[in-house]
Amino acid sequence: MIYFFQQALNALQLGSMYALIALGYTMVYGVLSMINFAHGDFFMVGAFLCFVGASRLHLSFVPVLLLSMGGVTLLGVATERIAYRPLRNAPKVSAIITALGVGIFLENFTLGLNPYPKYVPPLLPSFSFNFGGVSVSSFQLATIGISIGLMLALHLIVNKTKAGLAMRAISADRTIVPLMGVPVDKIIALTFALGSGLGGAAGVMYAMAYPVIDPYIGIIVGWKAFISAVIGGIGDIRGAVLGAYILGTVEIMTAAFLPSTYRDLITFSLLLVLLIFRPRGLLGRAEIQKV
Amino acid sequence: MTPILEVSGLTVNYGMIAAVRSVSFEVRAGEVVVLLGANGAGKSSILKAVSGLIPSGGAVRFEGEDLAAVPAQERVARGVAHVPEGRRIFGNLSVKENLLIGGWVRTDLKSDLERVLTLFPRLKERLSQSGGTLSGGEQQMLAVGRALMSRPKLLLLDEPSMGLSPKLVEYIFSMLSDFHKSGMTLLVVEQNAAMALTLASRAYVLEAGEIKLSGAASELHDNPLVRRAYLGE
Repeated sequence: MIYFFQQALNALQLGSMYALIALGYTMVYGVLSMINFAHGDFFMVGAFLCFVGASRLHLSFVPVLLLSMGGVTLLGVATERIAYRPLRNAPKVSAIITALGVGIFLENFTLGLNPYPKYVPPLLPSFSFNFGGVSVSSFQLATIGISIGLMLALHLIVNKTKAGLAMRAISADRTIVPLMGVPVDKIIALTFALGSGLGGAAGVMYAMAYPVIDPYIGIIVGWKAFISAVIGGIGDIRGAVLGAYILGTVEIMTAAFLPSTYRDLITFSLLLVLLIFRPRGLLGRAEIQKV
Repeated sequence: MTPILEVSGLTVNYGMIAAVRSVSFEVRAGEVVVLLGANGAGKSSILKAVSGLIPSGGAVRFEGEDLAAVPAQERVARGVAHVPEGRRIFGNLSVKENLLIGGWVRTDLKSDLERVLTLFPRLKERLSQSGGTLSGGEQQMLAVGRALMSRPKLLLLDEPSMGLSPKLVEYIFSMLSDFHKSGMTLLVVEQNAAMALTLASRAYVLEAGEIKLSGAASELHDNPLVRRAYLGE
């Protein structure tokens, strides 16, 4: 039983990381109906900025987190401005191919800088608490706590601010939003900023949990987060979080109770089965248009 | 007196298709001007060009200033509001949020909201309901209310009667008539020509992207061509 709770805690940690990344996918999809396939690589850049901050600049945890979030925020905004905005009204497939291209660029750019895997030194003093046999490490506590904090902040921005209102309006009907006087480009840039910033934070969480990083970590983690967003219903913010915790739980529990090589098989099977029965994901609703 | 809206040589193209071919007209402050015409005559395209939703050639002048370089979202701040065809309310937002986003360019949202809710008491009862759950008539009220939130000087309305019961059509038109009496300037595209001509000061008749006829609403109402084509006689 203690083993189960220990694994549940690991699931919460992995799910939190997936959730931060999945939010970036789902928010961008919400405003642009486009999958930003470079988002996993944004996350990877976040992990590398964490490495730079911790190992080269010798910064402590909070400055490293801010460096990763800030750097990836800029990266996301710049990518939208340079690569995606000119294609806003082009066929969807052009934007998707561009996103894949941006991803490959980021992987190879990072690889080109220094082609060896990097070790990220621990950012927090390593200690653990014991709750009735379940041990909670300082890393886990930081990951889960900060993730939940960031998600709450995002929730407030999206639901309680004027900019958040504009984001939700854009996700409902982008073409007429300019008629409200809303500067759509700015709101889309802000959406990229928020989504990318969360991806950068996830990079730090990853580097704390798996301290050896390479330029390709964003691929599989990005896919998993993307699947989380699809499971929850892409475009829906609560859905992305729900999907991420479901996926994190499935992965951890598979590895804990079944041969761990089944992990990805079960993860992707879950996606396929879910899409058969709920093609729009758990919280995604069919689009209804009244004429 | 310079007209509040002056459109000259307006053209709109969709790829190879010319939807609007060199259309010129004007709307003076306090007037209700109606654009009549069959489906595909280019009426909606004209409204979209005026509000900046689609690119166009020729000139659109609002209060004497050329709007060519002014993007749609800034035209709202200058006083142009557009109620699009098919209402297009935000179904995932609440009624209140729909109204608030309509007032994006305003600073004193509270009094604007108050004013619109006095005009449409039905919306007041449904403030927290999501826009998508409203009936067609309520959605039209919401679409008009949303546009009024920006306190426009010129209100563009695209088919405000579309899909509504005769009773609701009458209600909407009596609202528009009230707006007119209160001094608002309206440019209306409407299929219901009989209704539109009773409301309008002047009208333009469009055919295949060009203005075929224009004049005072009462004259057009008696014009045999208009009677045959749009009033069903």
